[in-house]
Amino acid sequence: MDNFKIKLKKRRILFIVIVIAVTALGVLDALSLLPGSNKETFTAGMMDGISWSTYIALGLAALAASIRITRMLKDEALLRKAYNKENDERLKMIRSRAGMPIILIMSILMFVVAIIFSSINETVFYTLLAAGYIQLLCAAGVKIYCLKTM
Amino acid sequence: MKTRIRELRKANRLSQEELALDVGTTRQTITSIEVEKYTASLVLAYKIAHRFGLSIEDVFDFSEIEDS
Repeated sequence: MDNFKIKLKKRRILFIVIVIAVTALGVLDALSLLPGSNKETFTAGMMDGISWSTYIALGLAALAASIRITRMLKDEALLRKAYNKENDERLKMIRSRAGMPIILIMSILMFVVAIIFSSINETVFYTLLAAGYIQLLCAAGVKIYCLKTM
Repeated sequence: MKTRIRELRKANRLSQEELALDVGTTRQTITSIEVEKYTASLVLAYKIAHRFGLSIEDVFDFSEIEDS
């Protein structure tokens, strides 16, 4: 259980770093200090909007996760439940069938690369974004199916 | 695989949540084992049987495997 607590604390640090990074980027963008922040055409504005909604979603998810971890670390019953959930053999099997965590890592990498490419190539941006979302949707579908049937 | 988990749980006045916590799994997994959707691993089967103070054969029905 102590190892699990250390693991959770490390995860919380990672999530807090993500929240801080997203907030810093948001502040820089609001002050128009970010290079390549182009909203002059409709397409550029849309790409900028999609990039920012992805950033914000990532930041909010990280914030929610860090709050959840803080609550778990304070409450022994919640911590025990989380430990059981993380080490549950059935859930482990379902996660592996849904391709987790590699699909999630790949999708996040795709989103990051898509955001980098947003100011270089429009087609690459849309392709990476669509592939990342579809990949996540497929994984979620398989996970829901397995949860219902197993 | 058929099991006696539900029957043993009721006899011991134990909820699925309590049993799950005792054997280190989730309530959903206990439900899946009870409704025969999921077959527990040897380790989990041992933990469940041990929780009730019985052997694995007393909790899990292996007759289907023996017949085949």
